Amino acid sequence: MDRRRFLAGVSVAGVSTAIGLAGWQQLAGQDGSTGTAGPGTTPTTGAPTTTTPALPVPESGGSESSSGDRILVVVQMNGGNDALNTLIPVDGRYRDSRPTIAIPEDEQLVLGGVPDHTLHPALEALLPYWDDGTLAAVAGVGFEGAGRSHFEAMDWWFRGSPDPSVTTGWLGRWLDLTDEGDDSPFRSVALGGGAPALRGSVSVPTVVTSPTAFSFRAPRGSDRRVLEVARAALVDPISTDPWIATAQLAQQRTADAVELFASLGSGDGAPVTDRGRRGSSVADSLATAAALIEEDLGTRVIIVSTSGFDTHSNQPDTQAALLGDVATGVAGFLDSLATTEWADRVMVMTTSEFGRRVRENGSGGTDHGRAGVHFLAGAGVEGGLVGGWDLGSLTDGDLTPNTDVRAMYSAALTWLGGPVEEVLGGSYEDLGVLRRTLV
Amino acid sequence: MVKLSFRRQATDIGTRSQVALIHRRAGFGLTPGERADAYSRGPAVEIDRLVEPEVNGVARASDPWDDATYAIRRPPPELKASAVADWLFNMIVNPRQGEEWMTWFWHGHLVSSLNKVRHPMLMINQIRMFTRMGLGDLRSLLISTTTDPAMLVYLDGGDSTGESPNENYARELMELFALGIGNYTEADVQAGARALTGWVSRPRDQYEARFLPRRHDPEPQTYLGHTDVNDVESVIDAVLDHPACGPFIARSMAGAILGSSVPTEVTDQLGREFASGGYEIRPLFRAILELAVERPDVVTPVIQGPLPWLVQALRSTGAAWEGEAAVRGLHLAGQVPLGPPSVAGWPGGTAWLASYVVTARFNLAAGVAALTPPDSPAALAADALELGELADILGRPEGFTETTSGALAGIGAGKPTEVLTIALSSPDIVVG
Repeated sequence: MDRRRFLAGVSVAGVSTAIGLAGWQQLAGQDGSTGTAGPGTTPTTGAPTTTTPALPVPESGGSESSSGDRILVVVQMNGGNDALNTLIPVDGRYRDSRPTIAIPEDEQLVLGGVPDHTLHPALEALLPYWDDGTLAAVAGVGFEGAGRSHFEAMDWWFRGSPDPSVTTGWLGRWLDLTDEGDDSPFRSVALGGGAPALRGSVSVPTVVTSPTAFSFRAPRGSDRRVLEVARAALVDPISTDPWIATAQLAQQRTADAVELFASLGSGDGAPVTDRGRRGSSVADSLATAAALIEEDLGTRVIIVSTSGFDTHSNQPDTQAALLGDVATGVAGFLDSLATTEWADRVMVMTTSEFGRRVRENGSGGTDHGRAGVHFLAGAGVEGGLVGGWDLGSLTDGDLTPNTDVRAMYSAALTWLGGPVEEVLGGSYEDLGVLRRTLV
Repeated sequence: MVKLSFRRQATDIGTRSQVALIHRRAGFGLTPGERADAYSRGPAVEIDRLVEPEVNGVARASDPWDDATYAIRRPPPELKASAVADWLFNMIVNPRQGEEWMTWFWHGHLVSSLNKVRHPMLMINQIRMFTRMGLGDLRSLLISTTTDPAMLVYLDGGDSTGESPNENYARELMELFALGIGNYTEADVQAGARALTGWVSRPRDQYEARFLPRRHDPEPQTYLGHTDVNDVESVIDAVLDHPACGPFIARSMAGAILGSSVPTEVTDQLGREFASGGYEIRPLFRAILELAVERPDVVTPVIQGPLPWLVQALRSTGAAWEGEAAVRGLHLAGQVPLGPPSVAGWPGGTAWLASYVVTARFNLAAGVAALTPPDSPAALAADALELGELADILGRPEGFTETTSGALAGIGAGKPTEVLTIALSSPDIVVG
């Protein structure tokens, strides 16, 4: 794997971009409109906007990373994680609403400095970061006016906007706006699932839905070496026909990615195991992510997807396993980079399309609700709890979304060095989750 | 004499290219057995056979789904893959390829997904409805879609009541199914949602939709400029009366067949004729196919989705693949029938060149190659490195590009599995 090889491919990249745009025009709809680069609308929902625009990120002194080197890792928990059993209020109404699935008090984890909330026991691996002051929890994240449909909610989160005419993902827009045309194919990477949030008008993420399946397999009894030679011959030379060239470049880029991922797996023991249809575990994907970052290939954004949070029934065991995977994965990721030059340059953020109802249902689970709780972790994070649950003030039986998703996105984009407003179509509350030297 | 000259004309390269193109874009390619006959009949007759199979005596495959298997109370999860595999089989064997393709087209346009609908019987019945009505008139198709039991689940129409209307279906009907964004207001969404209330899809109703008057809001609504709109028929009639409707549907269908760069003037014209002709789908389908033959300037390349690409590969090679294994491969490639990722259907275009699709497609090609019978025309041509013949069998009478030919020649004769794997995964076949 040779970084210069990516750079050598740049001379023909213009072809790829032109076709890419045509493809997105097609995607934008049968009305023939072109893909929108940004929401372009002033935010109409989301209570806590401030009048202070997002501040530019200065090149700070000392050992702090510069924004151009920073990496964002998003852990996307598909299905709608139950926020109330993740961050637990010290409130008698909690047990009353959840007679069979409430987390027993003696199992809840005490959060230092926070008297009125505790954590799910499966999140224990994150406590050292809390104590370090590099883990923030934001309670009440959601879009005002959001419904309870997975599909709609996921679309809003991916776009970073309730506006259905926006065809790009929030990180895709950031990648487009900051693309200098000389970046590696690993600038944005999705592991464990597709990542509509990375969808841009120009930028193309490297998507590996299932790391164990990410290889070229030879048919039984065939000559593998002959196939490899022929596969390489299919992309050399690159055609002057732009359509053929686009397909060739995709094949070449994939061959590079396959080679890289194979080397990551066999290196220092990051075995990539498959959990079948769910994709990889978060811990596996994050181990792959850490190894990828250490390759220094210009990676800026990685999205790790995992599913199964739609816990309509038998929630306790399922959620404990899933949160345990996320917590050990995030802790393992940060620990493995702690002694490297990347320690100050990575931030992890969780997302999930909604929280769940306060009241448990009749199947030992919870139905779709509204607000969620999310975590940000890393050396650039100002630890602590932002917001908290008020069970006396629910919205239609749900935890009330009182922190706009885009306020959290603002922090992530600020970490990446912005632009923030251009990506989000407005400015949102400063949650105070980034270290002061960064904002 | 006449016969000879007809034969020479029928097999010239231009004719073969036209026949192959319409079968790739509005069918799932030709089997080696169908190939010679289709070439000698020529594009005009092939369009007739794709568009009007009944009057042209093209046999219909029997329905692929056995109700006794699927119409059960608690279908186990593996029945989902089985339902997909049954459809896949039908796409391969159905002689009525135009009808089969049109069913697939409507599935990607009037979208529902098994992932939300959950019960395979509901999705199967919806697909059957698309086969039955997909070449009929748009009014009947949209009315049936609106009260389709799977759709009532997928876009929440079944949860929508006069007291608490759910706008999901009402919005997508206009935004994604019939008009396109910008051709309606939020007030239209709300009015449409009210007018469409009352329909439910319940387990106890034996996979039929029911209309429950107590859940319906009978109040006349003003919708898309029409007053007195208060039921499914009046909603659909207002949609069809909107000038954007014909061009919107024509754009979607023509984009799929001719490629996404087909000029707007062309699709607008098709759409106006579609509307003024009473929204009969068959003449629209025919008009688009005639353009594919007569107006090469409006035809652009299409990056084939994994599903149509795989079905073409299976048809052209005769590979006999166990359905569920093929479905697993399609899952990794991101295009499982009955499971579109969102209400907008599959993304298409360059999305089919994402890294995971490239590896999954190669591995599917390897699977097809390994299962191609050694005595099939495709395997024989691959074995002997008869590349012109192989390209023709795979639906490219024009032959492979120089680069692909070089890659295949480099493999050498006597390695049919390797040659087929590389040929099927080459840009020549992926871009079609």
